[in-house]
Amino acid sequence: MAEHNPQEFRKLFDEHAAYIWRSLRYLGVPDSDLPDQCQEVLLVVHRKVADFDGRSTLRTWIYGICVRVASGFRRKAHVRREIVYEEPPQGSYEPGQEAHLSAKQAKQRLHAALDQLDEQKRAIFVLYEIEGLSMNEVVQATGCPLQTGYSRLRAARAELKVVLKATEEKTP
Amino acid sequence: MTDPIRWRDDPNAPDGLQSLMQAAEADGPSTAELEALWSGLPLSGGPVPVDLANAGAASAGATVAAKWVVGGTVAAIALSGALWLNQPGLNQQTPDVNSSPGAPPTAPVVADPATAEPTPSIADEANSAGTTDEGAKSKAPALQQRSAAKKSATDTPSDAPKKSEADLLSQAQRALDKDPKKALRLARQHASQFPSGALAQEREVIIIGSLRRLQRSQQAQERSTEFADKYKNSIHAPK
Repeated sequence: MAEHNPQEFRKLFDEHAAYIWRSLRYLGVPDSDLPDQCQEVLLVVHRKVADFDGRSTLRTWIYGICVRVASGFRRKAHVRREIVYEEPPQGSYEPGQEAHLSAKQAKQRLHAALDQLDEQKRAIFVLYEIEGLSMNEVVQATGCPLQTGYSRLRAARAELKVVLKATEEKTP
Repeated sequence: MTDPIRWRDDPNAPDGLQSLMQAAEADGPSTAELEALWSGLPLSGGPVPVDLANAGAASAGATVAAKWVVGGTVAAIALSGALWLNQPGLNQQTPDVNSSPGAPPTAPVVADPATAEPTPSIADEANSAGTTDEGAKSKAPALQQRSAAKKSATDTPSDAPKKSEADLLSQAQRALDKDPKKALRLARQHASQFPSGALAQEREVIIIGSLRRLQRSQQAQERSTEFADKYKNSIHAPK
């Protein structure tokens, strides 16, 4: 298995690292901490993959680790205190970059809206809507009952619609 | 109950939510970021950034990487004699490990990154995602040793320059929060060693982040402006 074979683990890394990165980002890990938290996930995967029992897909299992790592990260005191933005001024964009800037602003709005969700709803929403897991896989990854998963998704969608609508109205 | 249609697949989703979800789905890391991530993994066999003074004092606030770093150092020292006899190029690829032969055996502190693993409410509910690992904890150091040894044995000399560049920045990135001065120094070291390196953008992001953390806002702002002008399509450009 991958844990005994670096080549195998490299293969696993190539297949899974990109969505680990993305899911952690949308689960609330700021960009400045993404490498560390990705490492955390990958090291847990490396350590435990031999014990993976196949009750879910490997991908779902890894998403579960991502959810827990992101959750733990967000609970750390220093994260609550320190929010670092890597934002060069918007005025530095050329006119031709408007579409690019618009896309960036849209993603920024989404991150800000996701920050308004509680942890459980955010995890359900991100795994279902962004990562494209089925609800069965989502509840396997998060460990909640199926009906709870559906109701959290409904609630998350409703909250996000409100928040995104509000931020859109504020945007000039 | 059937799964509801996802916003990204729903052309009738309100307020541009479909395009927003599609953009999020496509929002992945760059190749350079992935390579830096791989190089920074202790089990990838890359050089281990050693700051034993800090790592020795590592506590709950220490980063995962720092903890594995020291564990990797201990493992590497244990294997160093046999490995380096057979791998003449290894000394160049792992300068930090080589430069710390006197590392204290701090393995009990660092051998288990799972100590930093969260136990949130979601984890309490989980029933299938491998959350319990008491048995696995004791295996970690041995796995590290095997992985490091095997990866080192497969490294080729042609990998060395690229790895060194990525590792230097990876080390700087890890130092960013705890020691921004060190991060700045490492990033500038990278600039002098690799003025035309493939990771120049990542270096600049680290420099800007370091300056901000050091309260040198004016310089950070100037650098940010230059960055945005120079790398208009960069993934690191403002969100």
